[in-house]
Amino acid sequence: MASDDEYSYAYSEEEEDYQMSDDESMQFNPEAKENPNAAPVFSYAKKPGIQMLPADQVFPEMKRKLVDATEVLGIPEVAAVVLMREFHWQKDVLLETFFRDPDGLLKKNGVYHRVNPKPALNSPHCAICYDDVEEKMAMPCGHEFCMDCWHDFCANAIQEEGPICVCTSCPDASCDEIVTEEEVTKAAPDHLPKFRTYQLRSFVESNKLTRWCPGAGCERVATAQSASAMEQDDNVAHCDCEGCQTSFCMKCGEEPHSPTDCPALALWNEKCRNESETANWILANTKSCPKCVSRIEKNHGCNHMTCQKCRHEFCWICMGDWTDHGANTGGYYKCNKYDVDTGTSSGDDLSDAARAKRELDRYLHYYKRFHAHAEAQKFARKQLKETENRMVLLQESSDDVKWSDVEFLKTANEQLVECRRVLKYSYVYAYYLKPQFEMQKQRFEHHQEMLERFTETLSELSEKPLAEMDRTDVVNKTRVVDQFMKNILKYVADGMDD
Amino acid sequence: MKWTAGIPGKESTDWEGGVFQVSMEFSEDYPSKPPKCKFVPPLFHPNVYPSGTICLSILNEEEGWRPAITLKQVLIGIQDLLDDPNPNSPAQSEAYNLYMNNKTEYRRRVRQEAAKNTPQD
Repeated sequence: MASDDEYSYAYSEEEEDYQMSDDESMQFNPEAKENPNAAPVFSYAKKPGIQMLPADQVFPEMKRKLVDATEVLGIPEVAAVVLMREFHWQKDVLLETFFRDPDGLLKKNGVYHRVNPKPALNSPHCAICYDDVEEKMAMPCGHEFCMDCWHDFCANAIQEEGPICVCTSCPDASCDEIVTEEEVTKAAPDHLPKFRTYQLRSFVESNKLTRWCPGAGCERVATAQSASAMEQDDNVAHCDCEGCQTSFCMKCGEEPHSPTDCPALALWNEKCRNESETANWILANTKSCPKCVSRIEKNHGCNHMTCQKCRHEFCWICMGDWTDHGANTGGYYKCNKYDVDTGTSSGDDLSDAARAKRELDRYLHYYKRFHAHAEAQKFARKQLKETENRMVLLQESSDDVKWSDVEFLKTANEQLVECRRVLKYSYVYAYYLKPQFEMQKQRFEHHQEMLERFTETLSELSEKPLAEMDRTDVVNKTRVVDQFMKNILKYVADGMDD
Repeated sequence: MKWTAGIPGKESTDWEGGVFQVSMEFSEDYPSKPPKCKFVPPLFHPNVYPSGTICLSILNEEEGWRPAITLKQVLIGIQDLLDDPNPNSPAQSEAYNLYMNNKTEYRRRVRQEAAKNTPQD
């Protein structure tokens, strides 16, 4: 087995330009030292306030919330559904408003008579079809109709109006009392399941503390204990669905996007939609080798490219010579920075067109990198499957290799997916950084640069042929890159104070 | 099922004297869905579409229609609308623009419309 020193990170000659300052020194947790392959090193602290409910637990959850409200308010459950929905299922806000003016609130939301029922009007005929019928059903507001008319009324609302049918009011022209599950159960039991589905849907969708899992076909629901449970300091309410393995942000439903926050991500997505044609035109899926001009399609995660034709090595992001990216030439990994001065003349006297061009250049700078990491993330994800095959091969290559000895490959691969994701959104974050935070921006770009550089290194290492695979190196680099990922997220979470 | 109704303009309004024909079409789904009401011929009024269709909340399934609304209520609703147009849902530009910008001309046109629709007997 490996000795402990094996896992402490040692600089290779190639990377000697990078001097690690004290505050960035690696602090590995002792557990990981004992068993580096035990768990993914990037595992998130479990957010205690958020949990995933299986589909069949959503209804009981709604009932539980309703029981809470009905007990305190002393009103029927069907009335509580209406009120809770109106208040986005925030019980405390509802209670506060309720006790200030109960009657006003009940009337405004069409449940006054549900709490204070009126006797049925007892007219000889149905007020809809005017037939004289014995058996009629009355709403708590006293308006009564024959069962046939009731059935058609409910069926029409549920079938034709869709989700909004839960807000249907009394068939009487001047009455605002809400038709509830009680009436549907009695008058149109054939449509009750659909009504209940809509009610459940409105529970999840009007509730600020719940969200459908965005995974395709997944019916689980993320629920937060409280609003504060969704406020994480890394700008994202991270949620992992154990049903379909989708990760998403509970607040906006998008992929976890730290360090960027939800509003900035929404702006960015909107911008990318608007600019997509320009961006696509510039960013065709292939690039030419800077030397021999043959078209190259990138199909692996690493940005260190070697042209299959002329063997020229270059960086996929800046298209510069790869030799400028290593430390041995004294070169500087400069692929993450947008230099305002390149290409355009600086100064305030720019024409509108020049300013527009500069803004587009700035956007494209960030979009290109965002896009490159997004693609790399997809590759890394696809790679997971192949990694498992590679693990089997690696284990079979020698008799005394255990499964736990090859798991480092999977850990490295998963780490890459995470790093690509964070790198991707780090460019959105940088795009929206205000220009006056120059110092912070430089620090941020420094973190970003480290993460980017080591992600590339790890990406390259983990793609090596199995015969050349150096387990210790991969394990170390995985840990290092994880630390850099945490560093950049922490830097933002701490408000970018040094 | 299709009915035709005559709606008289209210007394002491510019619509007085006229009786305006409205066709009412009832679908299979009546009374779950409202009857389709149309002025025939189309009427000069801010809330009447060029086709004659009347834009009124109680005639709209998504808005105010309820199965227990009686035809009497519908007709009275339309009659009320004549002299009390709803500027928030214009349905034809001609009447709407005059109603908003030139009340004198608007009233002249309304009286003209009433005279045109006065029953001859």
